[in-house]
Amino acid sequence: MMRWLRAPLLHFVAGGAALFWLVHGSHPPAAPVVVTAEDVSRLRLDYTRETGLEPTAADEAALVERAVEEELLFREAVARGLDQHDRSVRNWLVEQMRTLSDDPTADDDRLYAGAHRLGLDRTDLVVRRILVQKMRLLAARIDEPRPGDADLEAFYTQHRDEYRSPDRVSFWQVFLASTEHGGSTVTDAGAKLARFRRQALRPEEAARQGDAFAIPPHVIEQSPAQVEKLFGAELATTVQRAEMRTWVGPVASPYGLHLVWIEARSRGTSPPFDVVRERVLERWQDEQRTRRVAELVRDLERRYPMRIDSAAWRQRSPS
Amino acid sequence: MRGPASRPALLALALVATSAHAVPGPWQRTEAREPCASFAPFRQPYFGDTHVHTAYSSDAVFAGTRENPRGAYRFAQGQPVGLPPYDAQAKPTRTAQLRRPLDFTAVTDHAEQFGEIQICLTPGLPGYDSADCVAARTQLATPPPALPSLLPPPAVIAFLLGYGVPTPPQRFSWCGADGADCLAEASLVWQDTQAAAEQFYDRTAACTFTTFVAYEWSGQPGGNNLHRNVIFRNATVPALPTSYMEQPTPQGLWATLRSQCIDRLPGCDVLAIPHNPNVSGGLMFAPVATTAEAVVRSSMEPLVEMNQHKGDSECRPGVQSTDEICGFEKLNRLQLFSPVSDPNQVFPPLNYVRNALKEGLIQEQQLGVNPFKLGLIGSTDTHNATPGATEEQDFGANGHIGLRDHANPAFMLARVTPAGIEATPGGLAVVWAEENSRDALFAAMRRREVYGTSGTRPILRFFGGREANLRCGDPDFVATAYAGGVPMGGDIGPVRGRRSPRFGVLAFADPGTPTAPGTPLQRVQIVKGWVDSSGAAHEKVFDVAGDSHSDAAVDTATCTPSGTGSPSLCAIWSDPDFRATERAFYYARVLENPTCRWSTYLCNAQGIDCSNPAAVPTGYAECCNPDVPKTIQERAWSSPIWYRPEGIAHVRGVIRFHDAPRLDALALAIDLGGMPAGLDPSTQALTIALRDDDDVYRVTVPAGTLREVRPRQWVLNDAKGRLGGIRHLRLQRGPRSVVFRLRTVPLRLTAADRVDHFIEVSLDVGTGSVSTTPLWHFDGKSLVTRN
Repeated sequence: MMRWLRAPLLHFVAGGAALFWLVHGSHPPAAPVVVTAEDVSRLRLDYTRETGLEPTAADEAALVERAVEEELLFREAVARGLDQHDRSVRNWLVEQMRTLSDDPTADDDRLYAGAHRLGLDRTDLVVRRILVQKMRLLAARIDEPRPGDADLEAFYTQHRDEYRSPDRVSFWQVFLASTEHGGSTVTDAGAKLARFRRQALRPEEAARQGDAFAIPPHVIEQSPAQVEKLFGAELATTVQRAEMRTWVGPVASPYGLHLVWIEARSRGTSPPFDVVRERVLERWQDEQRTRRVAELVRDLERRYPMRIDSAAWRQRSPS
Repeated sequence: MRGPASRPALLALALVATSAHAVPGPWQRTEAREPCASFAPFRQPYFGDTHVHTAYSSDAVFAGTRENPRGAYRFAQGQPVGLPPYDAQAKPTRTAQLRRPLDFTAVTDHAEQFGEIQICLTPGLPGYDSADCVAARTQLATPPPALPSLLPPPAVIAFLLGYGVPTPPQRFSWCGADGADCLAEASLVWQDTQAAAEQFYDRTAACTFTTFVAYEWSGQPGGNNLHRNVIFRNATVPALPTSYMEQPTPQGLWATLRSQCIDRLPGCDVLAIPHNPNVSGGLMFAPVATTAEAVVRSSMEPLVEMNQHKGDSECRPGVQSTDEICGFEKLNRLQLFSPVSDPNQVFPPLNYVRNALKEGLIQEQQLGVNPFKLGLIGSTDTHNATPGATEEQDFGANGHIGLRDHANPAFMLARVTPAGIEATPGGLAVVWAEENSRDALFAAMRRREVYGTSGTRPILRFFGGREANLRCGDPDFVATAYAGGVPMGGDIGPVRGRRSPRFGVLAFADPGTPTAPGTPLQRVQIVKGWVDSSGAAHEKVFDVAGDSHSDAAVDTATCTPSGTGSPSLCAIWSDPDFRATERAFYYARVLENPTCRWSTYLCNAQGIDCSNPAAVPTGYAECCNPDVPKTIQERAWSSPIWYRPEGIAHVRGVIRFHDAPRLDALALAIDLGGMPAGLDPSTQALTIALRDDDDVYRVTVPAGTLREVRPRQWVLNDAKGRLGGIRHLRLQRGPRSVVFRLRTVPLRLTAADRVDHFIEVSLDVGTGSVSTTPLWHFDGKSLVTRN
């Protein structure tokens, strides 16, 4: 299920690398994982073919790391018997054997048994890839616990800020278009501001004394980003900071000057947990799945001796 | 009869909005979500992209694009995403990031090969080892050639060919009987497309970002592009997308969208947006066959994507137009993959939207319905999962699609298909909506209150109608304009008798950001198209504000601008050539001062010196080709306002509320310029509807109910109001007008909100339909139309 969920190409690229992977045959449990110098140069060549780039040391370490990881996951899949009742594996092996077999009447069971006798269930690259993928999914998803509400809410609390809604501001603005006022825009704005203050004009009255703007003079519950889109950055900053319930300005926009009367401001809040529960769950699961595959791989690394002929890999920084 | 006295009432409307949700929009809420904190009855502009490809599109994924729809949505929200090539640690070697996030995005992957891609990339699935998949994967693993080739790699073309071009299209043989194996995979991709849209849709009151569940129908029969983006209103969508494989004609697509979504799936709504008519062989807007088809088409396709990576489709000098400003970012190919790039070929007139708008008028004259009633938007068509990345400075590095256009600039600058040097960074779709939610944005797209830009973010308002009080110095310009007419995308009739309607246009330059200021405006134009009495179509462009002879220029060596421009422009305009009998459309076009084209930035960055041709490296010849423009005049196009001689000249309505229940009453008077084509009250049913966010009032008068009491006057009188509460209904056809009057007996009209707001009024008979959405003012006892 959802095998393509994360970057389908990753699987493909990984598969491409595995094509040149040369650890053959079935292994007794403690057989070392071997990557020869020849394997490494094949991985490097493959990478260059794919990207047109010369791999750096870090690139080489990553290529080897991924190859080792696939080998470990493959071994684990076999150890857990994931190949035993797998329809894809079986169908694939039967098809391969049918082309190899000289007996056109052989039934599927016999062909399948024949594939095992030849060891195809351990050496065939497609089978390896199917099993590696299956192992990844198993590690990530099978028996995945659904977190309790308390756990999930605790997770949400840790990441609360990422869910925070933007701040909001409501204000009135009186616009003096530089195209209308030309060189006297600044003096006109100053005079207007002085008059508004002197007469203590209510914003809805004052708002009748400006020029035409793209939205009505009363701006309601807007986020700073939305204000910036319409008025530019300077006014967006001003309305977040300036004194409230008095005429302030003039504030410059790309269009002229604005006199502003800030009516209300509210800080953004993180939504109640219930509202974002599903989004939080999805994120939690994403993190858990990545972590669990990584944990399994680390665990497997400790179980097998490694014989890796790559200085870049040995000197890699721990991930 | 409106003077200063009416002003406080208009201001009151703005005031009412302080209690955020007292005011409904003229559209239904179809989904469960928190209401938006920011709700503007007079609407605000939301910037978005409705045409975005990710790794779920076969052409994108086999060009190395790895980001899926989640990556695209992250990018739209302002986060960086990776571009190929990727290094061994699966880290991208290039990244892209928007300077300004978008408000909404629809990811529209090609639906034809949803399943095939997954099969080709998932070892073990049947088909994985097919020659088709092996070739595509080999292509993916092969570094691009050092110098660009004219056509995309053969393996990629082969992969796409059978799916877009032949009729009927053919799936690969390994897709199983009837394509079942591929469709099974496709349904998983479609589900994930929906899940991604859900994950990034902000359903909280913050309303920071909206996604749409969408896909692209990618029919290209005979190589002629007929592509459409299919956008769903909400999360209620069919189990599988209808692609070219299922329905190889646009007519089939509309029919299936209706039968699977609109007619059968409660809550489902959808529209389709055609794009790149410029490479359609004149077929995107080929004349329709019947009135019925015109009706379906105009309802399913209210918009056209006029500008995107593969060129601008507004108009072309020499193709039914002498407008020089149309010579803008033109793709000089007859088909997307045609090897010939030549501006002097014969281009079919209906490859261009302005001609299609004129053709729509001609068709309306003949069929009674305008099939090409198109609102105008731009989008990108990115195949890098980078919605809204329209900046000229960035396009050279980002490119259109994955590896083909990767960091080697010679790829971008070559004369290759599908675009190369002729590509353009694409445009934006701007939607005037009350709030940033799916319902609000979708409704705005339906009513065409949208405009397109060539990628920058100017703000553009355009109104038309009676507009008796509209003037540029009015701080209440917007409220006054809504009260006196219709916004972009709307219809008007003979609102000032035989005199021209008045149009108001208000344009503000892109404010830019502190580090990248926007470019000032050069001028505002109004483009008119019309049909004369002989049935011939014409067009004319009027400069209405700004300076057409401005000294604005740009130094192409440094890309430094010079000269003056306007931060804002306003005009009130009447058509000096207006004839009340002639069907017409009007749209506003705003031009910025010139700036450097993306290719100029790229050539400059490469240090190309055209004064020494011998030193120009191979692959960079186009930098020095005088036919490649060095500058660009970024622009915005409003959706048109259509003038229909038979349209609504005037509408007056009163809904009187009574303290006691069921004693409310409605009176409605509509004056039309003429009898809409196909309207015969004797033999056809007549439907009258009033709608805000609810059905306020709705009645269908069955055919034969109205009596023709005297020639050209039909009447229904019933003191008991047995039919929908109608006490009196009269339809009277005069020499120059049609008068419609309706009064009800006391009845229940509580669905109408008791606050100033927009209520749509529509009158439908047969195929004929007229509607308008006036502003109604609540005076404490009654709702009364304000126009």
